[in-house]
Amino acid sequence: MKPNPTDPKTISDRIIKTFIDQLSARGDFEKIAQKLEKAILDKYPSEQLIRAALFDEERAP
Amino acid sequence: MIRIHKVIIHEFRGIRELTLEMQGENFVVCGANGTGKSGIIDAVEFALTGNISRLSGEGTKDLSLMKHGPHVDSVKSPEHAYVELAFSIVASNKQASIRRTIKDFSRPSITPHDDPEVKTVLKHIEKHPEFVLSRRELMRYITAKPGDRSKEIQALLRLDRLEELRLLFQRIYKASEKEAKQLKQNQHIAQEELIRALGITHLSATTLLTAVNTHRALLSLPDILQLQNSTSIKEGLTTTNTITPISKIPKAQALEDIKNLKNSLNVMMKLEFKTVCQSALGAMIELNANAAELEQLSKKNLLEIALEFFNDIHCPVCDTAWDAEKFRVLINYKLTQLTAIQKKKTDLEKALEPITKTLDNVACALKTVSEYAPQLTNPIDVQPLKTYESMLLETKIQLCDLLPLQKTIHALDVDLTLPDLAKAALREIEQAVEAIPDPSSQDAAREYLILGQERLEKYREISRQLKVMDTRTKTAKYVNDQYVKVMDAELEKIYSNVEQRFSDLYRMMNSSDEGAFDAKLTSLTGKIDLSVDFYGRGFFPPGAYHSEGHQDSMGLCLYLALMRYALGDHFTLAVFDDVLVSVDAGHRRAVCALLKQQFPNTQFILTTHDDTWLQHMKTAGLIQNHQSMQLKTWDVNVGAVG
Repeated sequence: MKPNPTDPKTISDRIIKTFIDQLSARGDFEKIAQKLEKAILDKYPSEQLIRAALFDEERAP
Repeated sequence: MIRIHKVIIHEFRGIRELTLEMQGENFVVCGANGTGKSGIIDAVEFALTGNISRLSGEGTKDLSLMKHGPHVDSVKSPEHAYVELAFSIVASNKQASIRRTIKDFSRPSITPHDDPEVKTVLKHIEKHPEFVLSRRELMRYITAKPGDRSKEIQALLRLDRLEELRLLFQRIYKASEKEAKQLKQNQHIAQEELIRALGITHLSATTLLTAVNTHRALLSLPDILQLQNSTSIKEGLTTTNTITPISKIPKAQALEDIKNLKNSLNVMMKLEFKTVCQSALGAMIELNANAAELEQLSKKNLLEIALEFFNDIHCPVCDTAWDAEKFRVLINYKLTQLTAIQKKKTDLEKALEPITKTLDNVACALKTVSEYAPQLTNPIDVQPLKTYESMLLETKIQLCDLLPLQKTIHALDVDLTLPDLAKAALREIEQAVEAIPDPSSQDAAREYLILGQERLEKYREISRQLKVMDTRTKTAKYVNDQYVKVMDAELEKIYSNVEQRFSDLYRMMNSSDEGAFDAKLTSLTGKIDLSVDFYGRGFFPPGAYHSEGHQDSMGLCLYLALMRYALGDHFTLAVFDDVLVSVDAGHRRAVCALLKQQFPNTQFILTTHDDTWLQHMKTAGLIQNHQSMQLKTWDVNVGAVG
């Protein structure tokens, strides 16, 4: 089946991508944005995955 | 995505055997109430999704697919209850079929069974049953509260994932904030302990270094000039001072800690604290008098829905007949009570905060003093102190949990006075510490630096944890805020598009009387507000002035606008179960024209109990004569008869 430009899935994905891009644009959140993108691409990301993406140990003071 | 060509129904709901030839075209099932129309809708939904909404929604607690899906005489043989659909995939014109029995409802037989395109299409439809629309669902888009409307619309647009993610970000942010709050309290306690150990009035680099250097001078240790994160105030002590201490306990500091414990206990025994406790207890008892309502807080949504779907005759949940006014007064009264109870609960949580803080202070002071006991020359049994400390901590935890309220009332109603055995243990520790010979000034300085360092490290560790948690909270807050901002802005664009399409469709449907109609679909976080123009007099909620018929039209237009946005050209199938019953004859022709002209690629399968409606659809060209079935009678033995 050809990809559908108005596929419902892409509405959510497009909004999430916009969010990730805007987050990434703020330099100090670029790494978090990358990790979040990976986590959210899982269809139903768990709280644990999102927490891990947000609270990168390398960012801890 | 698909068009239905044929439906075969066997021993399913009120139908024993029925075949409908649809040929991928619009199709209407007409029949009086109770002739089995909705059974056909259920069959189409079941074949494509494995579910029957009417048996699984709210108010269907005692209903189940397995028990109530088959014809009443076939309940014991669900393998004989089945629906078979022949359909085509519009994009590729591929023909396929699906057969699903009640017994194996999650494992349908699909032909061709290994075609990935067929599988993908069916999987997508199974996840999104919104192609079926009943009047009940239709009204949800219109009369629902903004929060509930948002859920309905987001589900239809397949945006529920966005909302789930929003709640996830929010939950993580709130949890971090709560953890940071607790760490801040722990840091405060650690700071007080450090201040007591160093004998200073407040904590700053200057006060700390002045006090520390005075004691270091007594041991001929060099001054510390600058306080850094890794600075040890006892640096040089082990190598330059080898005096054996008289006691393992730093006498002066231990006496300070005992004094602090007594002060904390006094605070807890003071009238002010007892007044705060009594006041909170009173509020809890009052709230607990409405224990049933408190439990009902979680069912607030159900009451709101009951009010929305009340048909002026029967309760939508239990079907009991009601006087319309009495029903509304009762439900509104319950809702008002719940709102008031929710506020009381929040107020109570705030009132309990100083109590939990005091309990925390006493428990920490007890722990500090208890730890001296094993180091005394004659060890003292501190079990009574530990038991008391545990009791205070358990009380604190219950106050933080709050519910069940009865348990919290019991927790706060206990006597917080230090028990006699604990008092005796405390007195014993105090006497034992007082009995320790006063150390020489050098010993005292040594003890001072050792304990001071211990507490400084504890303070530093908690401060470090707090810093991490503060950073996490800030990160979580920023990400949460950013997500909400982007989501709201993007949804606003979508709703603006849908709003325009909705208004256009409604104007087409009601050009005779509302040709200048306009609507506003406003998205707030987690909510969607809908207001509609009423003859140029302003914007109002749809239910404010518009008739039921107009509200039905609005529901249909909003549904169509949303489906068009969500599926675009793939909006090829819609199944309407007796929607638009309130629309009058004049507007029905407009509805038919709209469906035919604006959605020429969509196959509409409709039911109606009204012969005139059927005729309207024929004369308007929405269907031809062969595109309908008239259900004549229904009998429990023979089922629906076409």
